[in-house]
Amino acid sequence: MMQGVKSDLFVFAGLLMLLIMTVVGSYWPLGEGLLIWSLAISSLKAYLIIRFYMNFRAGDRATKLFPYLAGVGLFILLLLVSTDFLTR
Amino acid sequence: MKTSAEREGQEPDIPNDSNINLGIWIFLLTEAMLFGALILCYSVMRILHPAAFNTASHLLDWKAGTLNTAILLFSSFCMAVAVRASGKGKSKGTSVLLLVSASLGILFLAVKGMEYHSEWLKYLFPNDEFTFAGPDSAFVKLFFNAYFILTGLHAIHLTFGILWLSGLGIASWVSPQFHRRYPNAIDCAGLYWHFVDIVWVFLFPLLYLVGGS
Repeated sequence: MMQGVKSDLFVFAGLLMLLIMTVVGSYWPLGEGLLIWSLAISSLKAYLIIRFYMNFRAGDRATKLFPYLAGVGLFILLLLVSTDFLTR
Repeated sequence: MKTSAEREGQEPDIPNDSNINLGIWIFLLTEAMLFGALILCYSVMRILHPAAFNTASHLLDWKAGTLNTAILLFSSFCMAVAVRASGKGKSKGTSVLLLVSASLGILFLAVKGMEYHSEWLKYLFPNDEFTFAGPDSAFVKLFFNAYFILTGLHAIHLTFGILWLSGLGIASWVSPQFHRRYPNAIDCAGLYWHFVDIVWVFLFPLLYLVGGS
């Protein structure tokens, strides 16, 4: 179990580092790029949480399908809204 | 009314482990769609009114937001260790870690409450008394509408998670057999807790850092 806790601790340290990078990034003159920077780091944090804390790889095939389905659902939502928004 | 298994002195039927896991993932998928749609609405408003949203974002306390993010990340770490301890059948350790995670959730809500209080005092709550002296006042109010809806909905989810974790923590402390009877209960609570954490991980930069520090 100690090995597992150690890896959880490393992931936590990584998440804190990414949090610091998010805040430091907001001081850089990135303009609109700041949003992309922030969302990219948030996505990386979400990946670490899903992969290591939610034990995504330990689930069976049906269970593994649902995080992907969530991604596909959000992509369709984004596609439909942006199509509507851009063609108005 | 007793089930046939109970009448015969056996354990009552417990749903299959993988079915429970699948159920919670389906639930999380619907939650992802809910928050995804709201964040998308916020993004469209931000694209339409970038200057007003940047101005409004500067009115938020980003230090409190950063502290809250660190609190939630630490609670996620505690929750992950609680799930490991539960798998090893360590009921007292699991119980303590669950209660620590729930306490961190309460701490998050306390910080958020102080932020809300400060915003209320500055007349930034989007009701009839909303006051903003600068330009684009209507769109700054729109930002605060989105801010209170998103963070309020997240706080409701977190409150539910705190109740869930506290209940499991107490049950685990009182009954050492709890893990054997309900092996997936703590896993499911953990998945929900981590999901609530992920939602905040996206809300924090979108709301607090959108205009730069």
